[in-house]
Amino acid sequence: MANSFPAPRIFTHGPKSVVFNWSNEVDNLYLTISADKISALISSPERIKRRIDYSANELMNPSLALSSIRAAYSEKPVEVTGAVFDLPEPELVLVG
Amino acid sequence: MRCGDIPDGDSLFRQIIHPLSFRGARFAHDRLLRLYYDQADRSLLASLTWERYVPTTKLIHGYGCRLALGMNEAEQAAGRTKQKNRRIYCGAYELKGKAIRALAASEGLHEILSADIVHHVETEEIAHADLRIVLRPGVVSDIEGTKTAILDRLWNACSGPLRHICDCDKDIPEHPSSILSTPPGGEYSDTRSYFFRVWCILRFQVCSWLWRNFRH
Repeated sequence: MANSFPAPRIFTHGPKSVVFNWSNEVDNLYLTISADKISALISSPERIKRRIDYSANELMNPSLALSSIRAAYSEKPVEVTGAVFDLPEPELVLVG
Repeated sequence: MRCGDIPDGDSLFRQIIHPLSFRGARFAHDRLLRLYYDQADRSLLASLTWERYVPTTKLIHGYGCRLALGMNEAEQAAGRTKQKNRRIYCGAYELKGKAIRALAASEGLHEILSADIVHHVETEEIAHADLRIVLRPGVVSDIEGTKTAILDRLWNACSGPLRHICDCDKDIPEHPSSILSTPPGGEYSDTRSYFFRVWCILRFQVCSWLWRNFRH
């Protein structure tokens, strides 16, 4: 699997969600995953650049959603090729 | 008990407790604040301390040491006496009132109706203030995503850390205050002039004396 991103940091706000965070110089990408939604946030120190929310129905094809998030973060055009996406597999960390 | 509005230019501080704001051996900036969601009135709540009642670094840290001590007493009362349950005050981060209120006008946070800090004495602590963020009805589709966005903005707006080791924690060989991160906003700097600082301390002494003697 192509892996052009560093491994994410993993956050939580409590038992209802988990947040994956990638940093690219000063910009940050956060994927907040709860029971039936994924919320993507792309921010710089100065402002929120983009937020994208996906419902459970829209996640029936996760590769499309994740590819569009990745494209927004890297500011490259969306290229979806089958079911392949190259966000890295997150580290598994037990959070209390 | 409310004792006046908090001006935009005033500093608010968030005291950091180990292990609550850490993940393993690393400070976790997503745990800078714990945002509690009150679904009934669509608001997110957190606790801060107001500079007016902690006008010196010593008072800021005094609040933090008492906070950790109270938590440790509660843990011991519940029979949890293991070392991993020990709460350790590590220092504080600063936020300006203006930065908190600006959340309501932030690009990308359209679901916020208002963001404010209200002085609210709690557990006999005169410096305690409530951070209260009210969300617009029918706009929030994912409260967890909203929390992420708010914490991202607040982390980028804060400065610090003001590190500290309480007297009761001087026996800890590797104190976790050393692993607090510096936020994008940089180190904390007290920009108040000498005379203004003196005025702040005098005002605090008068206010706290009045509060102690006339609060009931």
